[in-house]
Amino acid sequence: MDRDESLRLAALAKQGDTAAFEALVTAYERMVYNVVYRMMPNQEDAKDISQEVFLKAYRYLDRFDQKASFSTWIYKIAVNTAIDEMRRRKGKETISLDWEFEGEDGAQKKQYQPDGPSVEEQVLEKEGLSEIWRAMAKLSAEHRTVITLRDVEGLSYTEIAEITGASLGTVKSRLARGRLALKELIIAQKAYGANGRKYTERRGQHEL
Amino acid sequence: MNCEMAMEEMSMALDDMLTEEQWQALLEHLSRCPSCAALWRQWKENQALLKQTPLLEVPAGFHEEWKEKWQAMLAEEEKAKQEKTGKQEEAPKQEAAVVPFPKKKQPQPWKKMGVAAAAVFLMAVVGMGGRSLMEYQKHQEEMTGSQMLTGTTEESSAEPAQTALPLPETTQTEQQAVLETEKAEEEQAALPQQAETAPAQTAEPEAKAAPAPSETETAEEKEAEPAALQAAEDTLEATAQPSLAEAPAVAQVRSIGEQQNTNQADVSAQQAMEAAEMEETASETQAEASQPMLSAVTAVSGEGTEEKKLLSRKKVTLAAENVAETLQQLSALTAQATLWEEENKVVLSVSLNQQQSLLEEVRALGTVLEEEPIQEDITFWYTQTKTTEQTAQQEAAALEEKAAQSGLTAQETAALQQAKETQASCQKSLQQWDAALKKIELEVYVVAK
Repeated sequence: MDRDESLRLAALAKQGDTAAFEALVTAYERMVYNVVYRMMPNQEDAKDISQEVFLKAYRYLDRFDQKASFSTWIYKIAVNTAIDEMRRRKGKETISLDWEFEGEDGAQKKQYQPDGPSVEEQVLEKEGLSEIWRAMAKLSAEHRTVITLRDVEGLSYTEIAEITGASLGTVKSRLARGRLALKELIIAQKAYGANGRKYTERRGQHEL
Repeated sequence: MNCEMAMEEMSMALDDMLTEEQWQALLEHLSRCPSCAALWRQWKENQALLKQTPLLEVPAGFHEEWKEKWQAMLAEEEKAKQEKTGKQEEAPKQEAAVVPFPKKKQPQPWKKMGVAAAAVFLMAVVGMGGRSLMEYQKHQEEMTGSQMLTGTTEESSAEPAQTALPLPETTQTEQQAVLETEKAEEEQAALPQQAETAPAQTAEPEAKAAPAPSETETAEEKEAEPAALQAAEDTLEATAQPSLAEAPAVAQVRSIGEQQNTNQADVSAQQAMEAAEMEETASETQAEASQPMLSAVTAVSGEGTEEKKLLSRKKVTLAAENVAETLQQLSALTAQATLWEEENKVVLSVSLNQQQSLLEEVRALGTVLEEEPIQEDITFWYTQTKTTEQTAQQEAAALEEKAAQSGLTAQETAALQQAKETQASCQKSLQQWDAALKKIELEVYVVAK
């Protein structure tokens, strides 16, 4: 959907046109689901959070500035809702890939795949992308966000700055450091194996 | 070009953000630095992989499920609206006239006065001696007109969704006001030591509460920096010395509302309690050496030739019974507050030396689930902006000289204008960064208990 069309629909939705809002949801649900899934790689969570994003968008639609871009606005809500959820859960459970769950003893367990790998896992494995996404899942939320928005979603620095509420300089610096951390995580995974002990960005060191 | 600079440039090169000149300089560095060259290859490979990430389909039934939730939400809103209307109709006229605006921030002028007013208040308390509270309030009202400059207006603070974080986007006028406020605070910071009402014992624990900047930087950096750069960082940190200007000043910022309710007889008792609280905070902080506070912003390394510029932020997650109410209370804590209601978040911006007292007030509003300090190193960007500004200045000066002597071609006139614009824009960025480096942003997320 182009920018003008989404702004037209947003204007109608603001006036109470529920069909216009539903058309916006239809147009953006895949985009939102993908960005949320990249931040919280679990199908159930990504689905619930994406749905919550559109509920929030409807609730706060009157605050949407018609001069702004609707997709940037919805990205912003999606990113912040996902980060908020990760923050809320931190310490309670480990955010993990669909097929990987880290138990209290640090051992890797299978969680959501009693009948084999999930569809997402199969796709990633097939494309040779599971290693990089396993490492992405271990990045800090801030680094994962900017890398996802830039390298996966292809957004500009200015758009990322607007979505994350950070300055342009912060976005540049966060990208550089995030990319470096990602490389370190991939190296650690190769050295210790995905089923080895923990290596996380925050910890910044290997536990043998 | 050193390796750290090369790293930032490589990241920008991946995104096609380098000029031809920068690209050549980077290539030159890569040709003689095997470790950066290896990093460059890995980054390119990783980026190529990430770009191949397939777009997933939404799970089956996604839209229908969302629609059900949406319709339930609409029905609930409609019901609530009807109930509210019904109640208002039933209520006597007198009560209806005073129904509050539940989502609107309660006007609290004393808090909106913010930092500057806090400083004024302290001066007033110190200076007023036996004056009655009424006289003091009158005095404060008189002062408000001139000191309210730093307070945000009701309209601006009540507009969260489209308001970006204040850091680089704030206007020059706001930045100027902030700088003036900070100047006033710096002057004020020296006062309590002279004042009879501010005993010496409160100053010491306060000073202890914030660890030495070099410690903070070391722990934080070591956690965030990868091994490849650790050696260089260690060298820098080994020589890092806390700047005198950054030494934690006495932060005596109590909310004026509380102070107004405190009569003179209670002052010493309250100070004793504050001292005890500060002692507790100090010991907690010492125990949390691995999770440093963010009082340090600038650590001067070596001979003072290079400064590390660290933007300080802290994220706090608070669990509260009533999220909306807590968000409103948080918004009212400081003059510079931006409410992001969609994300249940408030961003509070205060001077570094006020973070402790602000944190105490924030913690009192709910149960703290998490506190995460974050520092962003902007040294590279700062230095680069400064260099660009200087280059533009030199270029403009040379062209102006030529203009005075022999006149300029149309191309040169355009170049002169471009240079001046670049210089002005760099100066603006540097000013904004300077102001930001003196502050801390406290990002408070509120979740339901």
